[in-house]
Amino acid sequence: MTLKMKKIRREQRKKINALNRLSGMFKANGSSRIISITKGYAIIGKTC
Amino acid sequence: MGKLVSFDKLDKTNTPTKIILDTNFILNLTNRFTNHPTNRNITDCSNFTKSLVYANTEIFIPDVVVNEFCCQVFTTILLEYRKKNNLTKHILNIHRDNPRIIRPGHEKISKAIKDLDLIRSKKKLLENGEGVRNKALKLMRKYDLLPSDAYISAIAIVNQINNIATLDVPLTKSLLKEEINIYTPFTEINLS
Repeated sequence: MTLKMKKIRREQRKKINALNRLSGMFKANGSSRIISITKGYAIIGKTC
Repeated sequence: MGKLVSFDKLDKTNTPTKIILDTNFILNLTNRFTNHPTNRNITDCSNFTKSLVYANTEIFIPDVVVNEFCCQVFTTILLEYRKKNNLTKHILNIHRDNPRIIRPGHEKISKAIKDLDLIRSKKKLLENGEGVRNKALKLMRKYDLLPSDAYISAIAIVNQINNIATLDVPLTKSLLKEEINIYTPFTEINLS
């Protein structure tokens, strides 16, 4: 892995950690390229 | 017409290079801070954003969205206070009578903004001025949009970022007509 790639990965990890902190989903899988979803969504409206 | 892309259909061919995140998307993403009542899309919004990070997509969060996020944090605190104290008056009146109630929200907002700043692009969006305002007013009238939705749409159009992640169905219908691509967790939307 080149230094440039290492830097990019490091930045990505920082962002993934930030996302986990925001959502409180520390055990979420952050490595899959194509996401998986669960079925059964609700229509969400604005609350403020 | 813009394209409607469900989160589970995201692949190399349709991953955006730039995207704007709408308010309800952010409210799900920041659920730890907002305790938003309709939060069943947290996993999808979080995983979708992770996919964007791995694809090096430039993520933009307009200030109008940050404004609505702050509003939700304070709303949650005021609602909890009202419930805890068995009050019936409107939360705005509760705040008017004792503004200090919302103080716990400041720390939450600071923490959340710090992390949102890590994921969003360092590039500046053009978010105000006559051009954005006039476009927003035009969209508000054309599609009967609420002001925040109209501004988010106008910001996307003026900045030529033709991709928005949203969970708002009425907004989705309007934006598709404006050639904006929509990314959403909903697999089926009646666009008629």
